[in-house]
Parts: sequence; structure tokens; C-alpha cells
Amino acid sequence: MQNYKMHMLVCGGTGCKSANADQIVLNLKKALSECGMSDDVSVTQTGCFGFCEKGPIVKILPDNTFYTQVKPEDANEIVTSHILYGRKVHRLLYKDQTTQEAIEDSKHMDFYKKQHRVALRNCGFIDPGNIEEYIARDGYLALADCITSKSREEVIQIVKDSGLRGRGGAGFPTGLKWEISSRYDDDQKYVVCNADEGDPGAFMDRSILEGDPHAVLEAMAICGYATKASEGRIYIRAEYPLAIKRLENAVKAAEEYGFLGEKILGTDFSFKVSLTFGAGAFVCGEETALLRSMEGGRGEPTTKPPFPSEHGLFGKPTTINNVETFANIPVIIRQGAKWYRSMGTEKSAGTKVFALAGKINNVGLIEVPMGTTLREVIFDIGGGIKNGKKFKAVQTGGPSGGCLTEKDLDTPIDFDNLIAKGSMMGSGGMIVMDEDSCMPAVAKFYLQFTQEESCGKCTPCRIGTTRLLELLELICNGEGTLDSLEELRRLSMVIKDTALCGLGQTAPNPVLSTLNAFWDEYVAHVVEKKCPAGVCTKLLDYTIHADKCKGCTMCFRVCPAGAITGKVKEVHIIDVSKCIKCGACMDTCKFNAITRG
Amino acid sequence: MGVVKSKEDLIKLRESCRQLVKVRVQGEQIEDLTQITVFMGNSGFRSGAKEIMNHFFSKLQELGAQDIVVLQADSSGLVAFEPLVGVKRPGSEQVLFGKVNLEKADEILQDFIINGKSIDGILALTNS
Ligand SMILES: Cc1cc2nc3c(=O)[nH]c(=O)nc-3n(C[C@H](O)[C@H](O)[C@H](O)COP(=O)(O)O)c2cc1C
Ligand code: SF4
Ligand code: SF4
Ligand code: SF4
Ligand code: FES
Repeated sequence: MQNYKMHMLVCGGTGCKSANADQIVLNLKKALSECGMSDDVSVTQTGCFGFCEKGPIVKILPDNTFYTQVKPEDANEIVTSHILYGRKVHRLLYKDQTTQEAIEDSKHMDFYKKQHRVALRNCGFIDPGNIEEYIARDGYLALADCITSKSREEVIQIVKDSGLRGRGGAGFPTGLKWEISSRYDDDQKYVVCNADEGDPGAFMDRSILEGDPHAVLEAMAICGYATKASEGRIYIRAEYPLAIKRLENAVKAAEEYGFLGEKILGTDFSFKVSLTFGAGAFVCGEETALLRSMEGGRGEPTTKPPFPSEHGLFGKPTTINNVETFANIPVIIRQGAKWYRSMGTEKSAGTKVFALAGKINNVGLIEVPMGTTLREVIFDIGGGIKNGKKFKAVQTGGPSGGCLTEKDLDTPIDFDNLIAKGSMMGSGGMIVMDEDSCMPAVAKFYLQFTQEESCGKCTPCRIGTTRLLELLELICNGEGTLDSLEELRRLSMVIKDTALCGLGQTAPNPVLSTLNAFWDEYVAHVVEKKCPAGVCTKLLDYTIHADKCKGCTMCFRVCPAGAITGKVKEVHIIDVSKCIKCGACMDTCKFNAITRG
Repeated sequence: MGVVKSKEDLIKLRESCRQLVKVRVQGEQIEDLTQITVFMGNSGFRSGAKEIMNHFFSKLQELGAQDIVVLQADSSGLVAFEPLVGVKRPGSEQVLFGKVNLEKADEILQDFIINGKSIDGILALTNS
């Protein structure tokens, strides 16, 4: 086996690959070979480092140098300067957001300091295409341990004691789910991995599958052993081609090594895994709809009970868990329930992966112990709000969640706290909004999504979300009244109580939470007909300030509505009744004479 | 690679696989390791620092030492003392050795680092 002195890791996640990371790998290898160092330094492509915004990432070890926004043409300099002479390529080092100082190694980056990577332990560390690197990280040892020296009951007990709760959204205790499934006897039982990940802006499951596919396979096999199932199915959206490829390779390798297949590790336990591709409908992430879709039917939810544990895929007892839930299992088995419980809060043990997005400096993927506060996540790890703007709100739980504000920043994040605050954990999406975001418009954005994704099976959701959206459009167009706000609230409550599945039941959450936290902003839209954040175009007035206008006629010439009048070198005027609020005049004026408000 | 037939086989396989990620694990645990830093840059390179560094690598390989890591850094500017080597134990300050040759390198590794003896040649300056 090669004895390398240094390792170069190049991010092979979807984000960095789309920014030419593959070419970086080739160029690094070429540069190394030109310097005669191919035997001293290895180049490996890993999964996502989580720092996608600043990708492509190249990390050098053992010195933990973290290069960001690397281009293929930088490869030569990295090799001839850093590798050959120990001289780091300063311009590629990450710069601290506040001090602008270059940080020499990843251990000193605020982004990583407060993180605790359990589910992501191998992402950005191993080559997901090499099963031996997974084995080096104790891979498949948990499975080996379970099937050779633990009873099913013992395995379930460990998972129960760990306090692990489902990471797919609802937070159901995983050990309990396994126990219930194990009670149903049948000739055929299934383990299903939910890799649908339909929440817009979320990519934690994709990153785990791309970066550490074997962890999920190992966990599914452990679940199969514990629940007496011999077959595993992964439901993954077809829009995740890289994750699919890595999973398929992983299944093949696991079969070759005998971790999947017949009589695993010389025991009587047999387990196989296959993939089913989803078409990317949000509702297909809901477990009953997912199972129907897997069977080849329409992806429509069905009433529960019966629960999948009893009556799942093809009517057989089925244990269905989320990707991240599974990714925690092998470590829990190896390190024990007590270790897992030592992280997180009393009712939400362990860690959680979040996808940070929106108006935040460090957009990316992070993992923190449950109980970390929103403030730590947004300001310490996330680096605060972009362009020095003010924080306004954060939407957790995607389209099913709600928004939290300044006063919630010191809330420790866990399942129950978020629900108590009118939001939810969901799958871990976190979209940060700054002072320029208009909250009724944010609610409208989410309703557009849920209304479009509603499967249409039940009336409250099909008609109700459409009505909610109409009301929000009315409000954002300045045609709403205080009665519209009352109607919005009333209808939201009705939908919550009467929709058939989680999609409809949670769809009003963004509306309710913004109504509660930003009532004044709604009132401004319907009473004063103003959008305080300056977003809703129909509510904006464009004004030319006489003291600044030089009469250059530029605005007159660009106005598509003929709303501007004025003579050369004289002050121009906008006719509000003709103005269609397109903003072209303001963009054109070189003298900042036109304002919007 | 054939089928892994038992848990014992898997544990054996893991031992050999560990070599694949050893350097990365060292990076992960760097604060807990004794760090030998060889100062390179063009001047260090010309003074023969690369040979010294490679010597440390092969000695450590021979010894199978897990808790010592060799790092490379840019020239510190102390050109007259190159090849310059720094040793940093977990939780303590780095000490520097100047004009290190192969013999001195062995002494640093065997006597100073592994056996914890005090040896001659520690430079009376810190690298900052
Ligand atoms: C509309 C809707 C979409 C969902 N989408 C997902 C999804 O993309 N991934 C997921 O794991 N769970 C999703 N769920 C939750 C699943 O129904 C189910 O609770 C989960 O897969 C169970 O796994 P867990 O206990 O490990 O979280 C969704 C639920 C609803 C109502
Ligand atoms: S709540 Fe919406 S998505 Fe769910 S079954 Fe009813 S119509 Fe379909
Ligand atoms: S572009 Fe500006 S300065 Fe020129 S006429 Fe219009 S408002 Fe006046
Ligand atoms: S906003 Fe558009 S329509 Fe209105 S005055 Fe300016 S250019 Fe004309
Ligand atoms: S895809 Fe490269 S850091 Fe996320």
C-alpha cells in the first residue's frame, strides 16, 4: 500500500463538481507528476465539506490547510508552492468574515469550531467510492457486531436508549419504530430509506449519500437485522444523479465484500438493497405516498393507521427512515447509547444537520449538537447576515415550518422548542432573511410551493392552499383589507385541522407564523397600502426629487409606460396613475434623483 | 478483494485499510500529536531541508509511530540556521533546532521526542 506523506482532498460534492472540481483533480495530479511527487502526495475526491458557497474546496493534510474557490489553473501553484516549498497559497486561504485575516487551517475557522460532525463524520474525509476507506473508519463493524454478537432486542434497545428521533421531519423515536416493526411477523418485510428530500433549499440527505453512502447501507442492514427484514429499498429522487451513482457503486462494493447479500459475515443473516427513483414530487416524501409511488402507483398519501410498520410496501411490514436518521445508526451502535445521549438536549439527543441558506454569509451544510441556539448557528457558524444588514427572521422546517425572529435567537434548537415557537425542525433547512425581506411575500413564496405540490386528493389542501395563495396575492398587491387578514388566519386553522396528510396540515404554518410575528407588516400592506421592506412592486411609489433631477431625460426615454414627462434640463415628473412600477427609471437615473418607497 | 467471511477478518482488513487515511486522521487529531515542522521555502530547500524531512518520514515509518506528525512550513526567515526544524509537543511551545543534519535529526527524534531527554542545540529564539 502506498505510503503518502501528504493528502490532498478535493471536494466532489454536487456544488463543487459543478464548479469544475474534476478538472482540479486532474490538474493537481498532473502537476504532482511533473514535480515527481506522485508517490509522496495523494489526491482524493471526497464528499461535501459543507462550505459549498466558497467552493470548490481543496484541503491539504496533515496540516489542515483549507483552500476555497479554487480554480483548475490554481493547481500548479498549490503544488509548486505549498507541496514543494511549504509556502501556502495565501490568496486561496479562507478569510475571516470580521477580521479579513487569512486562516491557515480549518480547525481555526469559526465555521467548523462549533460544529460536531456525527452524521457527516465521513463527508469531506473519505473517498465515497472506496469501500476500504469506509472500513478504515470502522465501517461495517457495527453491522458485524450486531449480527454476530447482539440479539435483535439488544440492537433495538440501544437505538431506543440513544434517544435518536427521526430526522425526516416528524421526530418520531427511531428505536420505538423499529420495535413496533419487529413485532409484525411476515414472510417478507422491508426496510425503506427515504431519500426524497423535497424541501426546497435542503441538501443534507444528498450530501450524506454523496459523501458517505456506505453508512446508510450499513444502517439499513442493521435495521433489517433488528426488524427481521431481508430487503432494503432506497427511494431517491432522479434529480440526484451523483448520489445515485455513488449509491449504486456502494451497493456493488458492499456486495463484493459480502456486507450485503446472502449469509453476511458467515451468519444466517441475509440482506439486499436496491434503489427506486422518484420523480421529485414533494408529497412523495410523505411516507405513505412514497410507498404507493414505490409500488408503481400514484404518489398520493393514504390515511394512517395502518402505519407502514404494519402495512407498508406491498402491504408488508415496513420500517421507513430518513437518510440522516440512518447515518447516525452505525456510530450509535459502536459508541453506545450513552455517548449519543451525551450530545443534545434531554428530549432531542444527538446532533442535527442543517442547510444554511438565504442572506447569510456562510451558506452551506453544518452539523451541531441539538440545543445549540439559533444565534450560534446564524452568527457564529453562519458568519452573520450578508452585507452587514440586519437579521429579520429565519425560516426553519422549509415550507412546513415557520419563521422565527430576533426574540427567538437564544432558543436552543430542538424538536420541541421549535414546535413551541410555532415552527418545526423539518428536515433541517434554515433560510435566513434580512431587513429587506417582506414577510407576506415570504409566506406567499411558500404557499406557491405547497399549492403547486399539493397532490389534490383532499379538498382542504387542494382548494384551501389555492385560496390562501389568492389572499396573499391580494394582500401583496395592495387589494387586501383587514378582513383578508382575518380570513387568512381562519382558513389556515381550518386547513391545519382537516387536511389528510402532513403537506396540507403544515402548509399554513408559514402564514400563521408570519401573521403572528409580523402583524404590523401585514397591516401596512392592507391599510396603508405600503410594503415596508420595499418588495411588493405594486405597493411602491416612484418619486423624482426636484432638488436632484438634472433634467437629463434618461428616465423619460426608458419608461415603458410613458409615465414620465419633462423637458431637457428641467425637473421631470412621474404620473402615478400611468406608472406600472417597473423600476426602469430608478435604475437609469445617474443622479439618484428617483427613489422608491 | 474477496468476500469478508467473519468479524475477525473485517477487523484485520480494517488494520490494513487504516494506512489509507492515516495522514487524514493525523490532521484531524493534530493538537494531540507531537509536530515536527521542517521549514522549507526556497532557502530551506537549497539547504537540504527536504532530505531532512524525508528522513523524518522514513524513520517514523520504521518506528510505526502514530503520535508524531511531520509538517512542512515556509522558510521562517532564519536562513542562516537552515535546515531549521521545530518540535511542538501537545500543549506546549514550539522549540527550534538549527542546522539540522541527518544525525541531529535522529537525535531529535530518538532522544528529544521519544525518550524525552534534553539535548543540545535548542535555539534561544521563538519563531513568530
Ligand atoms: C409533505 C411531506 C414531505 C416529506 N418529505 C420527506 C422527505 O423528503 N424526506 C424524509 O425523510 N421524510 C419526509 N417526510 C416525513 C416522512 O413522512 C416520514 O416521517 C419519514 O421519512 C420517517 O423517517 P424518520 O422517522 O427517520 O424521520 C415528509 C412528510 C411530509 C408530510
Ligand atoms: S393534504 Fe394535500 S398533499 Fe396531502 S393528501 Fe391532501 S391534497 Fe394531497
Ligand atoms: S434620469 Fe434622473 S436626472 Fe435625468 S431626468 Fe430623470 S430623474 Fe431627472
Ligand atoms: S417605474 Fe417604470 S413605469 Fe413607473 S415611471 Fe419608472 S419607468 Fe415609468
Ligand atoms: S459541494 Fe463542495 S463544499 Fe459542498
